[in-house]
Amino acid sequence: MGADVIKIEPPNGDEVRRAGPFAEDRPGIERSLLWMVLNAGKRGVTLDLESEEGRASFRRLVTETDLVIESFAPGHPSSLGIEHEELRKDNPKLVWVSVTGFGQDGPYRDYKWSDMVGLALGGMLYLWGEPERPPTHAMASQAYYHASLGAAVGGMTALYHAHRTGRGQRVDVSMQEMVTFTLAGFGGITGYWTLEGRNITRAGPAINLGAMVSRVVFPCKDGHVAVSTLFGPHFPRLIELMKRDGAAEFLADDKWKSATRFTPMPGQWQCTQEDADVAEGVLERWLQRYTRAEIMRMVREHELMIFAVQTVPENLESEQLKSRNYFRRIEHESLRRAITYPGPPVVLSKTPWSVARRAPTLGEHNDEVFSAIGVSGERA
Amino acid sequence: MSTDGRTANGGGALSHVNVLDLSWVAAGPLVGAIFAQYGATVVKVESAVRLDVARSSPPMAKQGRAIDRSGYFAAMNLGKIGVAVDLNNERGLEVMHRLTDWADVVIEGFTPGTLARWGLDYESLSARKPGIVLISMTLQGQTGPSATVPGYGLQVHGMSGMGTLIGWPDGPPTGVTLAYPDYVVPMFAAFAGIAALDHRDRTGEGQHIDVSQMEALINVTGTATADYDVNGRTQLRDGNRLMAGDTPRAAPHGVYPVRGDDRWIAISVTNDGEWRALCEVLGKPDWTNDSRFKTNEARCGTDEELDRLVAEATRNHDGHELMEALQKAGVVAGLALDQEGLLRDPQLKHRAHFLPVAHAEWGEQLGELFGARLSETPPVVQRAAPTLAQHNEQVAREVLGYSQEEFDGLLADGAFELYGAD
Repeated sequence: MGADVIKIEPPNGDEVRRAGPFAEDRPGIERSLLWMVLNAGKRGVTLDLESEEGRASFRRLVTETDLVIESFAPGHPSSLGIEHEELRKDNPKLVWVSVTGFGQDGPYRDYKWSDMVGLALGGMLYLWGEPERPPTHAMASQAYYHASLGAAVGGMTALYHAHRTGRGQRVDVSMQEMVTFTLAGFGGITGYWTLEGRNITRAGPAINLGAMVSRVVFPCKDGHVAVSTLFGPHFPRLIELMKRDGAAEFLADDKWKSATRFTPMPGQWQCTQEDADVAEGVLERWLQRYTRAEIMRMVREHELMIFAVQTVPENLESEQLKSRNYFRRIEHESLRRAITYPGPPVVLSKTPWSVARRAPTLGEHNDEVFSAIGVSGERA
Repeated sequence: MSTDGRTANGGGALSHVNVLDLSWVAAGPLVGAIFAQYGATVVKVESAVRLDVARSSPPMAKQGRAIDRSGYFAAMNLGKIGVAVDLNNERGLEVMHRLTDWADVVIEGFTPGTLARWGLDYESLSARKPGIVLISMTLQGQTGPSATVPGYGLQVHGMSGMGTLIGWPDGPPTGVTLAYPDYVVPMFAAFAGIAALDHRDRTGEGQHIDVSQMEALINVTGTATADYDVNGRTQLRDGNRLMAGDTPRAAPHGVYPVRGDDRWIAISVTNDGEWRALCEVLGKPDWTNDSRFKTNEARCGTDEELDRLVAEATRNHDGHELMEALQKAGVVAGLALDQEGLLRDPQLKHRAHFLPVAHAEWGEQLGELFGARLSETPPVVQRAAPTLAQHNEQVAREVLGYSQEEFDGLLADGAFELYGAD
């Protein structure tokens, strides 16, 4: 979005630098792809906040700063003598964003957190995975992303407020609370308990609407496809296609063309969970005759609401994403290659999003950042 | 504007911002709901004929008119004022233009090209009001060969690759219990919308924000793209292991049963100290001497056996007691809360995360606060979600400045709609 972002690391580097996957699977603090993805577009300096000299440099830096974001355990900055209220005396517009597992107060304040534990106590973990097995997390840390997005929204709001009023403030982000938002906004899932007295449970490849479980993900010949509402307006066309292959089975009965799971409108036929389960079985057997590419051809021709379940190589080849110049490549001179990154999450017409640079190497901008503010920093 | 809700919006960071929400179902409406939490006045415009699909989506309240019972609709539209306007009625369109003149931000999720039919596309809106910010929320964006392909957020879950990252390696892609993208993408849009307002205040220039749910969701797939590009690896779901590409990074890292039906605890051990603490709390001090488990590297190599042993050891513990004991000993652990568990969770209670607010038909809606708490301008629940056409008259009189006679005329002409009226 155009901000000048300086990443501060301890002298031995952020722990993320030691987390894989690494470029060419060879570990090294300048080879972590996780580091690169999370820190692209920033400048980087090293500072030892455990030392008085480091803290003095930090305080000096903060006088020139609009927003600080930190994710220390609650109370840790204070224990180092870093108080955001103090810093705001010299810089009244300062916005201080704290991202923690559970927030700055309350009985879990001192609980330790991980991405998976954030998902657990935020209510998401319970909803992911297969019904007869333990709940599962995601390969990419989703609870951390929820916390980041909450911090971005809250931080941007506070920054805007500071621009208008000259007054900064503290933004206290709880990962647990941010996860609850992603369950279905402001109460779309807890509503099952408050309004209907039931808990929604994980349903594997299906969506669970309490009184109704609807299969979404179906296997096909070479992977999976997703169907979000089987009994939608496309269902009669889908039945015709199955008929053509002699695979419609009992779905050939005309009543299925007007099937609905909801309260029926005039002319509709309401089918039960049992009916729907059997219908889904017919569809599953039929889809397994085809590859994703073959199914997608039928989808285009007959306007079916079916999508291919894709992975990265297919997204890289997507005509849609190519036409929007979505993926971006950034040069990494030490690796002698460019790396492909996800592109703009949103497209702004007047102030476009960009990745101006790769993630910084350890202490890469110490000289330029520290000399600009007249302090001596760490030498990497 | 009278507030029938819990909290006034006077002190919010966005209390000077007017938002017009023309979108439906979930992803678009939640952008407006986030704005409302920070104090914006958000008017939701609906059609009383072509009802928002969310109004028929569960969970359902037991009280009220059928069209106003959806807890799902209420969750997506918490804090808003609601009107019903007929855009295909000449005078209804006149009302709509007065509303867009009032608005700083317009949110919509129509198929690309639709807004132009009513003269509500960005070019027309910005010609009337150069500072306007239009947020368009669609599955695949405003441009490109797939821009007009219809569908729901759930499909984005599959297309983006997210689905392939959740579940068991020997099972199907999962994580579709909810329409996940619908609840993640709005935060990207709200962030961009607030940044655009900041830009407008400094330059007078508004803009069009084109959100593709697909593109936003690929942004939260971690290293999947880079790992494929650099190492040729397609990352895939692997239960609950903490993976770096295709190698476990730490163990034990899993979700283990505790006492009760479908009760689970998540435990993330990332170093030897936490491992020893885990053994201690589980009453298995001898495990620390077992050469198979001595180092993180060794533990990573015996993941399934280790998971089986830990699961056996946690099975008979009370979940809350075990979580507390583990956290006290410095082990990262948390219960997999169900919805009832969330509502009873002491931390969420302490943070006043859930807030009851008066609802016109149900008596009470349980609202929630957005989890980014601003100390001086905190998030608020301004009011419950609107029932259909609830605020027609107030918006006409107080926001748009129509006289009572003018409003009566607009209602009689069908510009403002009421449900069930012809």
